[in-house]
Parts: sequence; C-alpha cells; structure tokens
Amino acid sequence: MKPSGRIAAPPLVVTCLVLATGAALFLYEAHLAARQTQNATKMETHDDLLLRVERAAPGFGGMYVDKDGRLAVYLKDPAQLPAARAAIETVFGQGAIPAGGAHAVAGQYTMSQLAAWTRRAGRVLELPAVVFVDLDEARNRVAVGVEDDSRTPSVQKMLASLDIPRAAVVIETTEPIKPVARP
Amino acid sequence: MFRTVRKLHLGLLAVAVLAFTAGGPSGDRVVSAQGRSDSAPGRADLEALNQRLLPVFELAGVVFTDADETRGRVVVGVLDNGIDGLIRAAAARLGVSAQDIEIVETEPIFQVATLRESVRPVQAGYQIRFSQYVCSLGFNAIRNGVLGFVTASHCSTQQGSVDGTQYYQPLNQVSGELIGSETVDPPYVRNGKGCPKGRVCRYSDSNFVAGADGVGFALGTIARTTGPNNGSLEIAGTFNITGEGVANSGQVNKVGRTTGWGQGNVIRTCTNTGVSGSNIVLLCQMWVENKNAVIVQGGDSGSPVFRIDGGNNVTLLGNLWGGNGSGTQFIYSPLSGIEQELGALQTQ
Repeated sequence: MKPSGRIAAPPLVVTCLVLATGAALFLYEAHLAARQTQNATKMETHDDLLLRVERAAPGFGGMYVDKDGRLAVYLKDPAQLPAARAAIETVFGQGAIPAGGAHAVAGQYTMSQLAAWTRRAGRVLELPAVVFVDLDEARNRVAVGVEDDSRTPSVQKMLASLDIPRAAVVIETTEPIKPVARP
Repeated sequence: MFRTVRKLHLGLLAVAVLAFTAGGPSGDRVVSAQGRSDSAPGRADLEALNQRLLPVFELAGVVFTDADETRGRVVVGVLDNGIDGLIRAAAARLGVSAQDIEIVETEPIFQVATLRESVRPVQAGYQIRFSQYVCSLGFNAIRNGVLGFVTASHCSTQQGSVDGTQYYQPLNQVSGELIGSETVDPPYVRNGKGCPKGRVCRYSDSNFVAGADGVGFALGTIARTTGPNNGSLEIAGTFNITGEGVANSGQVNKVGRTTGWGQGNVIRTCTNTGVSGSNIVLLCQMWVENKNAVIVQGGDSGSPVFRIDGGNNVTLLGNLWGGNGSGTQFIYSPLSGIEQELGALQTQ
C-alpha cells in the first residue's frame, strides 16, 4: 500500500483517540439529555399555580369542589375570601369558580407551608413500598400513600427527622402503581 | 372530519364503506305496500338480474343490491335518491327493466373495526406492538416537523433511552404493519430536583415515535368506542382534539386497547408517584379513579387522556402509563410534563 504523506499513528494511539472521542460525545449527549429533563423542573405545576393564589390571598391553603358543587376554599382568615376568589379566577381562569359559588373553610396550613413540607416529604419515596407523596390541596394536608400499614412507622420516623409536623400529614394505604404494558 | 396526514405518499383517505351485494342489510328499507305480482320473476330469475346489476356499484353512492323475493324485484340501496335516474339508466344498459328494480335510500354501511385491528389512518387509542409487548397509541403529533406519535416511555425496548424501538399496528412484526420508530426518550435522571435519593426521575412516562414512510396518521383524533366504561373495543367514531389543557378536578377519559373508553374523576394532582417494582419516581403525575368500573388494565399504557368539552370535542390532557391492580385507578403524565421532556408537540 502506498504510504501517505502523513505520519502513520501507531494503531493503539488511534484506537484510544477514537474511543476517547466516542466517550466524550456520549457523555456530552447524555449531559444534554439530562439537562433537557432537568429543565422540566422549571415548568409551572398545579401546585405552583396554587402558590400564586396564596401570594394574592395570604393564608390560602388549597381548595376543592364540595358535594354541593361549591368551591370550598381553605383560608386561615375567612375575610380573605374575596381576594382568594379574585386570585383563583386570575390564575385558573373565569370558569374556575363553579356556578354554585365559593365559600371559606378553616384551613390550618398555608399552601407555602404545605409545599415546603411536600418537597421535604418527597424523601420518604426512598423507603420501600411508599407509593406517592402529594400536596393534597383538597384536604389541606400532605398526603403519603403506603402499600400497607406496616410501612407507616418508618414513614413517620422519617417525617419527624425531616421536621414535618405529624398533624400536617395524612398517611393512607393504597395499592401499588404498576406500568400497564401487556406481554 | 379529521385531518389526515400521510407521510410521503399523499393520497385520498380510504373510506371504509362496505357495499353489500346479495343478501344485503335488513334495515333501512322503504316499506312497500306492493306485494309480489304473478308476473314477477322467480327467485332464480331475480338472482340472475341481481348478478347482472353488479356493475351499478361503479356508481358513487350505491350501498347494496338485493334480490328481494318478497317484492319480486331487485332492491338497490343508495345513499341519496338523487341518483335514481343514473341507476335506472345503468340498469337499462345492463338489460334490466325499470319495473324489475326498486331504489331505496339507506345509510352508509361502515366496516366494524376494533382498537386491536389494523386501521388506517392511525388514530390515538389503537393497539400498538413493540418487541414482545402491546400498548396503546397515545396521540399523533408533529415534533420538529416530524410526523409521528407519543406513547409511554416504558412501551419501548429500553425505557429512557433512544433505541430505535419499532412499532407495529396492530400486532404482527411485519413491514406491512410497521408504523414508526422511537426517536425521543429522555433518560431518567438521578439527583435531579425533587428526585429522592437512590431513585431516578422524570416528569412524564412518554416517548416520541417518528412515523414510518407511507403510513397515514390522523392528527387531532382519538378513536371513540361505543360508550364509557362498557368494555367495548368496537370503534364507533372519533373524538376530535380541539385543544390542550389541564384538568385539576372533575371527569376525565381515556381510550386504550384493553379496557376501551374509561372514565373517572381526578383524585390527585401533581403527585410524585413511585413506580412499583422499579427505582423510578414520576414527578407531578395525575391520578384518576372510578370505584365502580375497571378503567385500566395491562395494555392500556400510552392511552390518550382527555376531557370531553361537548359532543365529540375534547381537550387533550396527557397519556396514561400506570394503574392499580384492581383497575379502578389510572395514572397519567400531564401534557406539560410531556412537552417539557419531548419538546413542543403539535397535536391537532
């Protein structure tokens, strides 16, 4: 074979260079993909929207549609109801208040308290058989789902270590959630 | 009607209308007081006339022909009586006299198909197959100019990795049923914000599949079965996606290949959910429940989740990926999480 004008690199060096370049490209792509996924943390969630309501109506702690079709709004101070109503319509749209109207119910915790505790309580998902952690705006509580009651003590222990008031958390049993592809 | 997009080969949407020949449908006939006259042709003669009339199916709007011995005539079913003259003229050319035929108006006959059969163009809710599993097609979409569809990330050979998984509709792994290949499936991330230690997380269980050349995809449509929570898989029409949104309460729906059209109420919003049997936590997921019906079972993964706004108009909310063992709760990823991870999607 006719030699080229370039200096022929030893095969081992070439192999190493190729492998290193491939590895670098792989890591860069993985980094980009990871960044794309982590950017998801910037999206405004339903909980973020509820926090926006609290900023306009201090003491707001969640809401739900009651059995009479009215919007029950958790407030520490019922006098904040008009401000809460206006904020709910601003954040969630004109149709957010049902035709039956809205009324205040006594809330013990604010959305920002519940949101902070929910973030911290997320660590209980490190424990086996914990199914979910949810800022339960319909109950003015943090909700934690476990597969069976035997898991409750370990969850309580971790929640205490995270400095989350026991009374602010509802622990309930629930079925495990499985992906539903079918062989 | 839905908008059909066909990759590369632009063509007319095939209308699934089956025309009946002899022994046509028993319904939709015009009741006639005329009985069979003595001079009417017998059964054998009628059948011969019926055979001779077969070319009338070349005329648009002919639904069936039937050698109707009770009337002593060949009955021709048409979509519109306006083509009466054309039928009679064609019959005359074929040597069939006007008094030997009766023309009646009838509704079109559609092919009855299920979510598990081969149907084109491809719609949301149909059965799809990858590797050795079946799932449901989430929704058709255009991403970065590429037409395809979204389904569940775990409905791919390697969840959280672009592996080129090939998808078939409905079942057989043959070229004629190939509908696309996976092109986007972001990794599940460790140590991200809100992700518990020792777990990997994402905001959606979704991936994007680029459509195969020559396959038609109906953008903005979801297959509609015969009714909610009745277990039917028979395709009875379509839902039209008129918008994308969120549902933080109230009734939502899904259509999947195993349990069909399921309907329940939102019971949890933005819930960090541990996936049983894995180290995956899906952040900010939506929970739906119906205590009185089975609304999810194996194979429903990927199903489109939507809110009905009125009639067949719906708002797309996300895609289903999980459920409880008793089938009364399903979990879906909201569209916001899907688009944050897959990129902007045009869904209608």
